[in-house]
Amino acid sequence: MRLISILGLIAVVAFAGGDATFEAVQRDLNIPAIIMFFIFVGATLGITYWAAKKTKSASDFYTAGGGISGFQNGMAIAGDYMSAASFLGLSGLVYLQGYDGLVYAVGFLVGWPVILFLMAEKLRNLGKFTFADIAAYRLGQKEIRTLAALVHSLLLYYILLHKWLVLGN
Amino acid sequence: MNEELANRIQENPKYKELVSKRTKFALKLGIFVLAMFYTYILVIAFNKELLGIKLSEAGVTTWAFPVAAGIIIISFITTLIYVRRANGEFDDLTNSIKDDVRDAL
Repeated sequence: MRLISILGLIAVVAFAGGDATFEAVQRDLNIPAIIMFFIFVGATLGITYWAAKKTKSASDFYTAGGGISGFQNGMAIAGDYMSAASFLGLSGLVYLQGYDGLVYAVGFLVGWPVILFLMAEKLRNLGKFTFADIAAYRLGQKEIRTLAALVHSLLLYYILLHKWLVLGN
Repeated sequence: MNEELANRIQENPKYKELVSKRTKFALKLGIFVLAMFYTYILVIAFNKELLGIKLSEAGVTTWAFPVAAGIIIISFITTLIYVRRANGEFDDLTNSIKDDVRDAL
C-alpha cells in the first residue's frame, strides 16, 4: 500500500511538472462531494471487513469456496471490466479523441486470451490461484513474493495512468 | 505427490500427448492473437491513413472502427475455441491419465 501511494505521489508530481501550460483553477470546496466520497470509501471498507471475517482459506478468498458457477464468475469478471477503466477512462478517451481512443480498449482486452492460453490450465492443475503462488511453490517463497509485489505495484501504476490522464484533463 | 507416482504419470504416453498437444495449441492461438494485435498497432504507427479511410462518402466512421471491433470479437472467438477444446479433449485426456495411475495412490 505504501509503495502504491509513493508511486501515486510521483505520478502527481510528474504531471504537475510536465504540464507547463496547465492553469490551476481555484474551485469552491465541494462539501457534499467530499461527504459522499467518505461514505463510499467507508461502506467499501465495511463490506470488505465483513467479507474478510467470513473467509478462512485461500479457496474461500479467491473462488468463494468453489461455490461459484462459470457463468457467475464470468459476470464478476465482466463487472470488473465495466468499472472505472471502461466507463470513465475509455469513454473519456473516445470523447476527447474520437475513434483513436478505441485503440486502448483493444489493447487491454487482447491480453486476456493470451493469459488464458499460456497460464490458466497450469494454475488450475496445480490448484493455485495466482501466478505468484505457482512461482513461490517452485522457487523461493520470500524472494518471489517480494518480486511479485513490486511488479504488481508497477503494473497498477500503468493501469491507473490512463484514468489519471483522462480525469485530470 | 510421491516420486513413483510422478514417474508413472511422466512415462504415460497419454501424458506426453496431452503436454505436446496443449503446448502447441496454446502457442498457436497465442501467436495468432498477438500477431493480429501487433499488426493493428503497427499499421496505426506507420500507415495510419490506411485505417483513416472512411467507410462511406457520407459518413464519419473510418475503417479503424470495424477493424478494432473485429479484433475484440476475434479474441472472444479464440477464447471460445480454446475453452471448448480444454473442457472437452484435454480434460478427457487428463481424466484417463488419472484413471491409469489410480492404483498407485
